[in-house]
Parts: sequence; C-alpha cells; structure tokens
Amino acid sequence: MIKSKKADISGEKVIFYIASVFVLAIFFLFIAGMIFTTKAARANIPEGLENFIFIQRFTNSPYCFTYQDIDTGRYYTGIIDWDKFTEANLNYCYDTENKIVKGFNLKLINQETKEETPAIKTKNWVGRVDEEREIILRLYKEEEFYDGKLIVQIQNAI
Amino acid sequence: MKKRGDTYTLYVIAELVIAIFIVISAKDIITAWASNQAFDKVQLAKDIALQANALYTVPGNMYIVNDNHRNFSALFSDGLVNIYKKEKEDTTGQYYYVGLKKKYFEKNLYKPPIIVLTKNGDTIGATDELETLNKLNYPTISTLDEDWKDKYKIFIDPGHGDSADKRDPGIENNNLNLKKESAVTLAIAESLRALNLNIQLTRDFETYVSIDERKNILKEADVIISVHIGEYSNDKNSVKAYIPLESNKNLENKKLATIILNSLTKELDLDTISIIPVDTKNIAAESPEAILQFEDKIVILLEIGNVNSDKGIEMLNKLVPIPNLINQGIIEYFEVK
Repeated sequence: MIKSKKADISGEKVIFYIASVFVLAIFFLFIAGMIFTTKAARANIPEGLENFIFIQRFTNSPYCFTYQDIDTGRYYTGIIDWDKFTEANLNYCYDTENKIVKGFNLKLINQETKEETPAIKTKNWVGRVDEEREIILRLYKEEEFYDGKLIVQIQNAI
Repeated sequence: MKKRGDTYTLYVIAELVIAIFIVISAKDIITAWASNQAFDKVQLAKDIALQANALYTVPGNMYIVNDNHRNFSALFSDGLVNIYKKEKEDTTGQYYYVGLKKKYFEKNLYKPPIIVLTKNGDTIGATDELETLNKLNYPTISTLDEDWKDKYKIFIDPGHGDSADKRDPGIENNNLNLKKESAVTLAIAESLRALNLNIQLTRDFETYVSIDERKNILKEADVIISVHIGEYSNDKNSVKAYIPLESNKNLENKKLATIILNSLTKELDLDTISIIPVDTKNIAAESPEAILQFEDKIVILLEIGNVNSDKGIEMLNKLVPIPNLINQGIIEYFEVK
C-alpha cells in the first residue's frame, strides 16, 4: 500500500492537536484548581477560631453568665455566676434558631463540690455533637468562689 | 525549495506559539473568573460576622474598622452580613453572626469609605465614618416638647457632700482647685441652675445628704442628672453616663445621656465617652448609683473627667464649659426634633 506524504503530515498534525488540547485541558484544570483552592482557603475562618470566640462570649460577656459585683457594678470576665447559668440567659446572649450557625449545649460543674448544673442549650441545638471542649474557669455561687469547669458541646453549621 | 522537514518544523513552531497564546489567555480568563470577587465577598462577610461575634465577648464599648474592604458594599439584616459590589446583583458574599435577643440591626452601607462595626453597651451597629464614633447615636424617639419648661421638673444631684460631722467628700485630689469631688459637683450644679431657671438641686450647700434623703427629694423630679467626677487607673480623660439597665424610660434615658455626652464633646478634650447600663436591682442602698433606682423617671448619672489625667484635671479646674454644655444638651433633648 502506498501512503501519500500529504496524508502523513495531516495525521501527525491531528495527533499534535489532540496532544495539545489534552495538555491545555490539564493546564486549565490545574490553574483553575490552584486559584479556587487558594481563594477558598483564604475565605475560610481559621479552624477553631469561631468556636473560641463564641466560648469567649459565654465566659466573658456581661450579657451571658458573667459574675457582676453588686456593690461596684463591675463585671468580672472569666467568672461565671452559677445563678445566671440558665437557658433563658443563654438564649438572650446567643439568640438564634438558625441552624446555619453553630449550636451549643453547655453544662457547668463545680469542681470542688462536684455539683453540676442541668445542661442548657441554644435554640438551634438539634443534638449533634461535632466537638466537645472543657473550659477551666472560676465560678461564683452564694457569695463564694469555686474552681469550675464549663463543658461545651458544639454543633457545627448544618 | 523547502524540504518536508522544514515545513514540519514551521508547523510545530506555529502550533507552539498558538498554544502558548491560548494558555496565557486562558490563565487570564480563569484568573478573572476565579477572582470574580465571589471569594473576596465571602471572605469579607465572614470577617465582619466574626468581628460582630467578637464584639460580644467583651464588656464595654468598642469599635472595629475595616478599611480593606476593596470597595464592596455591606448590607446588615437580621444577623446576616451581605457583601455586594453592585445593587441588585445575584452573587453576594453572605455569613451569619449571632446577636443578643432583639438586638439585631438593619443597615445598608453602600460604597462606604470604611466599614466600622461598633458596640455601644449591648447594641451592635455599623457605620461608614469614624467621625460619628465621637458622637453616639441615640434612639429615634421624639422628645420634642414646646412646654417642657412648664411640664418637666429637672433636678441636678451634685454627688457626695461634706460636712463637719459626716464626711463624704468623694474623690480628694490636691491637683483639683476645689480639692474634692463634692465641691466640684456642687459648683457644676450651681452653675447649671444659674443657666437654667427650671433646674433644682438636691443640695445647695457643702453638706452631707444621704442617698435616701436625695431619693426623697427626687420623688417630685421628672428628669434627674446626678453629677460625679471620675478617677481611673489610666490617663484617659472620659465622661461616662450611667443609666438604669431596666427602666420604663429606657429610651429617654439613653437619648438624654447620648445628647449630653455628644454636647460635652463639642468643647471638651475627651478621649472617650460611653453609656453604661447599671443593674439597679442589686445596688447597695448607700451607693451613688442607687440614684438610678427610679423606673418611671428620666435619670442619668454622669461621671465627668478623670483626676488621674492631666487633661481631666485641667478640664475640672476650668469647669465653666461643663455646665454650659450639659445645659445645651438638656435644651437640645427637648427642643430639637
């Protein structure tokens, strides 16, 4: 069989086109993936930061459970008032039923007397525990200060 | 005449040039697509939502400035931070923050020069100019009343009060011309009365008056302004307005406190002004803050200056502008819509 020279060149060209398109497609995907990953990573909140900030609210905010000196009116961040540790207060200082944001289930333990409060939960809590943290802190109960522990169960956005 | 190899090489070079051109163009296109601001919007929305959440972790007032918002606009609505470029566009960056009960706010900052998140007491807000941060925003209630001079009994309560048998001088400081808080507050109160004939005082002299006695006198008052001076362990000159945490006159208290604080900033060299709600249910009977235990009256307690600040001492020694500016605030409360 006699092959034409013209056909030979066209065949090589087709193979070259196919190879080029293939390489280009890979390159496209690589660049797109790289940009997407970089951008998406930059848009993310660093791991654990959001949980940290919400937990800070529970322990430090005057609008949650923070102990207030009745004589001076001063709030003591980091000290939880046992009597303020109620679901009503929690839902005041963390008011959402939106499950797109994190939900919390909290329990306070007096490490000296081993007494525990009932668990209290935010309104968007559905019972899925994605993470649990223990926060060591001081607590105030009936004019005495104790070593305490705050158990925080975290439900990530659904 | 060209050989076949030459033609082939030319083909390959041409294809390579085209391929390089395509790759470069594609990279630009992909970059433009990927940087279609979608990620930037999401990132900014998350940052601002995180800042809003962070503001609730601290007591007191503060603000956070975003000056790297890359010309995006921000819409705050029901706990959702929306970042957008143009009005009515489909793709916005969105993220939720969690606020206090009934404390969510609505605000659209369109093409703002900066995005500033503010926390004033338990209220989060947003603004697009730092200038307004030196002035607090007050509740949008009307307190305009042409007959206010006839209808409202305004009492100034000069804090503390010294006498030979019972001493309550308040803060004592040799850098003060008048040496003690009770004398400074009385001087402010007397000047205020001279400026505004509607004003009455809970004490006219340098004498001790108990909190109970003051509260008895104030039973007939409609508006109460208790005056104190401050002493803090920093060198910042400030004025703080304390208001009851819970009151039937909550909005009025907040508005009067805000207007007076804003008025004081007009002429005084102040580093900070703030409004501090006080839980009046658990205050000791003899504490000055017990004056705030009137639920049906407009009542605020001003703590003016800081005796540990040079600027504060200078301000408290000059004195004259203080009553003048407080009086301007009272007039503005009733006379400006």
